Amino acid sequence: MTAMPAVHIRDVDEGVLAILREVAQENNRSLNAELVATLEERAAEHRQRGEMTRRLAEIADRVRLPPDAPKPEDLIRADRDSR
Amino acid sequence: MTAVRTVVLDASVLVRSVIEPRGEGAGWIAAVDQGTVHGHTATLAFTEVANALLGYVRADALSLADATGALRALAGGPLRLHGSGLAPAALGAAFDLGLSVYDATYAALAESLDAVLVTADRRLAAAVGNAELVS
Repeated sequence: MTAMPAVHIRDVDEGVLAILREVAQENNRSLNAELVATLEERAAEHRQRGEMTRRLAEIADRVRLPPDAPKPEDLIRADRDSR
Repeated sequence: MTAVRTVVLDASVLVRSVIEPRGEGAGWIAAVDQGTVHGHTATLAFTEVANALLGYVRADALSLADATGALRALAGGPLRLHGSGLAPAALGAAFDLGLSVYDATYAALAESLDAVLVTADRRLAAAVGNAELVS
């Protein structure tokens, strides 16, 4: 099995590190596992950039609003005021 | 380094992004998607968006599959969601600002994040100090 690469991080604020230790404890994992999970989340976010917009644009192409269609804010206002 | 702006998007902006692809709402969603702004919303927004989309589905402006797909796209994107923890602050904001708790949920979230509230709802925008109205 190939060893996973390691990253050495300098200049980490002590307060930030303390919080990350707390988060790791809450998630029942080591600090290293917590940091790897955080990096993976950030990488996934970056990889997915633009995906939401692309999917919504595809859907929007098929929307056929009649001229008298209510505005979203009017539908939501009626909903909020009716509860 | 320029700080990335933090905004709270209410349900009206999310629905606008679905039905008006070249509108301001879609512009905000694209900015969140690209990471040029940090976008937050309340989990309440998804119920409100679903309800509004249901209206468009019933009017045959949108298929049920596309409405479902739009909800999935919004939920799967980088918007940060805030849930029941907002309720106490929302209750206080509703009382102070004379709003429904639904409206006040977004106001309380924006206040807690020191963020701009972006909405297409005039009443909500007028009631919140730091708001931007989508036209």
